Order: sequence, then structure tokens, then C-alpha cells
Amino acid sequence: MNSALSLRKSRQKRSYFIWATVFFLFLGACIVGLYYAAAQIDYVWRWYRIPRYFYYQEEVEIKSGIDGEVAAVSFDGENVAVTVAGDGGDETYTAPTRNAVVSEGDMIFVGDTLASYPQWRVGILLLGLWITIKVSIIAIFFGILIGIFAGLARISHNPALKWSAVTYIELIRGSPLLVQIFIWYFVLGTLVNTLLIKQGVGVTIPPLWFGVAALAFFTGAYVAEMVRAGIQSIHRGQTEAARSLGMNYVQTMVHIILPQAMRRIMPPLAGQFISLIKDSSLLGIIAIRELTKATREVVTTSLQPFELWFVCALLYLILTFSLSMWVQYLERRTLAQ
Amino acid sequence: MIDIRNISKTFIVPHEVRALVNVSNTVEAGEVVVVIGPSGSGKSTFIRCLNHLEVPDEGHIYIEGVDILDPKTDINMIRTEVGMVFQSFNLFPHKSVLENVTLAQRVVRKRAKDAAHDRAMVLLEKVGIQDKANVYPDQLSGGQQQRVAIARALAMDPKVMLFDEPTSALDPEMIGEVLDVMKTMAKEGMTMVVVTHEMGFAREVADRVIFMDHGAIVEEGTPEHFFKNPNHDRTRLFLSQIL
Ligand SMILES: Nc1ncnc2c1ncn2[C@@H]1O[C@H](COP(=O)(O)OP(=O)(O)O)[C@@H](O)[C@H]1O
Ligand SMILES: [Mg+2]
Repeated sequence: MNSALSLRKSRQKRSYFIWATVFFLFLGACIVGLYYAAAQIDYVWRWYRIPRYFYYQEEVEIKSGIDGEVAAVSFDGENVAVTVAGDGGDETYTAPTRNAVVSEGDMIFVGDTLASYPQWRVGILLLGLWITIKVSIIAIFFGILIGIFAGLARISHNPALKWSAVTYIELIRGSPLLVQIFIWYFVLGTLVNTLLIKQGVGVTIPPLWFGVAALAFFTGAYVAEMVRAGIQSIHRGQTEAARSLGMNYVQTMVHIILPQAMRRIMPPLAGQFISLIKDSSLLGIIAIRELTKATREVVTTSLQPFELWFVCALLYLILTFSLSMWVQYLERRTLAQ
Repeated sequence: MIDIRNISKTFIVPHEVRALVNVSNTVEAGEVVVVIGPSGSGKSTFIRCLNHLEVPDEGHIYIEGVDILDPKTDINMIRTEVGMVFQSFNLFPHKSVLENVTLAQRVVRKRAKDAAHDRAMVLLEKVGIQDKANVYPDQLSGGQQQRVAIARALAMDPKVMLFDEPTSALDPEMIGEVLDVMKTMAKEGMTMVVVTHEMGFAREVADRVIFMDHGAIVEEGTPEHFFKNPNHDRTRLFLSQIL
């Protein structure tokens, strides 16, 4: 009896390891297959070229603004000071380097390099990643706000509010996000910016904000449905208790119902945020240089599409994965409480 | 204090039920009125009408002379004067015991933080829960939760307290602790309308007992009258079933 049980357990263990091995073999085969296929078309992998699109060193050159002669090159710690004596007087240039490219007595013309030093700069992929994060955070923030209002309007008894909410939710959920982005940018954007110019206002609204609006309203429609379901899942007794204490509708919502409903819709809300991060990749088509657009630009100049698209996917994965980890942590913490 | 004149209420969904039929009554200040009656007789509907959780189709309800069914009446103001305790406690699960008792003081009565806190602690001590002030409701027993709910209602300094079967959801060993709190309130002169099946409570503290059936008041009188020689057959039948 006991030995039969342990035998079954060890068998289970063995088959577990066998299938785990199969999984890793399969994974390895996919990677090898990819490299093999790439080799067939003579693709050269150059992973070492990738980091420069995150961070790169740029040589900054200090140039002379006058004609003249180098009167002095003096070092002070890690800095160099080059003094040029011209007809109109002396001019001193300093640079954070020990590497002056001129020496005392050299003839100098305007625009000649006196010293140069390397400086770290943020690469285009990292900039794109930042735009993606920024756009997603702003859009989820407004998406949640819009969603709360639309969700409340959806369950209101006032026909104007209710029908507006239903129309909004159905319109958004029934059409492709790509089309909505086009409408925001090419229709509403053109209208708004043309009107702004006509009114003589000196500024126009950059594409980024139409992109953010498209994402926020898109997300808002989905959040609205979650908010509605979340509120309806809170027991009626909560509203009755709050109202019987003299709290009005708004106070009841703000202090009693929404906090409980929001806690309950945290998991689907996080899922929506993850979708939003991925959907923001569509914004490239209206000239917003988020991660996907940035990758496309780098691909055209670097000619290393394979590495770059994998890196791009990996960056999205890191974003979404860390977000879902964070949400799980939050959930566990509220459960513990 | 409370003047109820000819109120009627019919529910249409899910099917037509005449929950209240032409009910009239007067509750004096300081009076303790116990409402009894079989399940579905309209007791909850009746008591919920008194703080506008249900709205009668017909009739008038005056609380201290104010017509609470007049659309111009500020119903939230009225509700601060009329505390309510529910069968299912309905504490706010995301707030600590203390916050449950201070919240409405702060947002409705606009009391300062310290004042609300002090008032809450006095009331929690009164109901015997002061040492649980910082825990969350789900860590309390049913009896403790109901006592917090009473403190929460009292924190608004109401003139009337309504109880809708406050002990019906409790394990038998916890009923006493809640009833004790209610008895103390009664002795201190609080005006109370209590729907309950606890006849001991009715006998001990009620000034008047109302028996309802099929949405109407069938009989009312002192506890002695009720328990010694009720007039009505239906009252006798009901009492014989629950005593
Ligand atoms: N919100 C409601 N919707 C429909 N019917 C209701 C509602 N509340 C109560 N009723 C009905 O009204 C009648 C009286 O109910 P209630 O006042 O709760 O009785 P009691 O509290 O005496 O048990 C019952 O038949 C009940 O089904
Ligand atoms: Mg009832």
C-alpha cells in the first residue's frame, strides 16, 4: 500500500521531469531553427550593435569662436582651459577633459576644435520606451477617470446620462482602435488645430495628445463596464447603511462604494493597463515616436531588424510582466489586510 | 415625534405585492415601540419608510413635524436624525471599526477629526468594543459587529433609532450582548422602533407592541395586553407560534 503510493509518486516525478525536458528541448529547437534559417539567408547577427540604441557616447567638441593664437593651455584637476588670444582680446574655453587637441602657439580660426570630450546620451530605443510608458500612464489615468464617470452614468436612472454612456461604450467597443486613432488625429486633430490657427492662437496641440486621448477614451469604455460590474457587485446594504447615516449620493460613492468596487476590479483593471501598453504601439502611425516607431526607425538605419524587433518585443514583455507582478503583490497585500 | 398617516406601498417587481396597506401610527418621543409579525407582513417596509429607504406610494410621514415625503425636504438632514441598524450589520468592510464610527461624523456632520474620534471612542466604550477600535469588521464576531453598527448610528446623535431585526442574523449566544446595549439605550430615553422576534425584549422594555400582518397593523397595545389577552385571533396564533 505504502510502497505502491511511493512508486506512483516517483513515477509522477519522473514523467514531470521528462515533460519539462521536452519543453526545454522544444524551446531550444525553436531558437536553433531560427538561427539556422537566418544563416541560410546569410543574415549576420550583430548583437553588440544594439546597446548603442539605449545609451551611446557622443564626442562633444569645444570650438573656438574667434581667430587668434592659443596663448595658454592649463589643466585644473580634470578640466582643461584653453585661452585664445585674438585681435579683439582673449577668450578662454573650458572643457571637462584632459584632452586638449591644440597646444600653445597654434594658429586658430573660428570653428576650429580646441578640445573634445565624450558624453553619454540616451539612445532612441530608450526614448521610445519612455514615450510608451508616459503615454500609457497618462492614458490609464484619464481612462480610469472617464471609466468611473461613464460607469456611474451607465447605471444612473437619468436617460440622458445612461444613453450617453451606452452610446459611448458601444461606439468605442464596436470599432477598431486603429480607426479611432485616425479619427482622433486626422478628423478631430485637424478640426481643433485648424480652429486654433484660425482663432489666432499661436499654439497647436501636438499629435501625442490626440494619441493619448484616443487611448484614454478607448480604455475608458472598457473600464466603464468594469466599474459598472464592480459597483453592482457591492451589496445593496452598503449603500443603504451609508445613506441611512445621511451621506448623499456622491459621499456614498466616494467613501463607501467606489473604494470597495475599485479593489474588486483591480485584476481586470491591471489586464486593461497591460493591453493599453501593447495598444500604444499603434500610435506610431500618427508620428508619435513610441517604442515600436523608434524600433522601426532604428531598423531602417542599422539594418539589424532581427535583433531589434526581438529587443522591442522583450522591452514590452518586461513592462507588462513587471506590471502584472506588481499587481499580484498589491493583491496579496490587500488580501493579507 | 413620528407621525405616520395612511401610508401604503405596493411593490410591482417581480410581482405585485401590497407590502403596506393604509398604515397609520404615532411614535412619541422617548417611546420604545416593538413591531412584530410574521415574515413578509411588511415590518421591514414599514420601518424603512421611516427613514426614506422606501418611499410610500401614498400617505404622509412627519418626523418632528417635517413632512419627509415632501420633495423639498432635505432627506439627508432627516436621516442624520434617524439612525438605523440592519439585520445584516452592513458595516463598511474597508474601514476600521473606528473609521466606521467616525466617517459619517466627518463627512456629514463635518465634525473635526479629534471631536469625531472622541465621540466614537465614547460610543465604542458604551457598546463595549473600545479595545477593537483599530481592527477591521471581518475580524469581529456578529454580536460585536452589530454593536459597532449601533455605535455608528449613535455617532450622528439621532433622535430616533430604527432596528430591523437586529439579532436575527446572530448566533444565539451573541443575542444577549446586543439586546443589553439596546436596553441601556431604551432606559436612557432614546426613542426606538424595533422590529424583532425577541419577546423577552418586548416584554421588558417596550412601551407599546404593534402586530402587523399582510401589510396592516392588526393590533397594538402594551406588552401586558399582548402577552396576557390579545384581542385578535391572528395575534394569538402568531404569539403561540413564536413563544
Ligand atoms: N424591494 C422589494 N421589491 C419587491 N418586493 C418587496 C421588496 N421588499 C419587500 N417586498 C415584498 O413586500 C412584502 C413585505 O416585505 P417585508 O417588509 O420585507 O416583510 P417583513 O420584514 O415583515 O418580513 C413581502 O412580500 C416582500 O416580498
Ligand atoms: Mg424584514
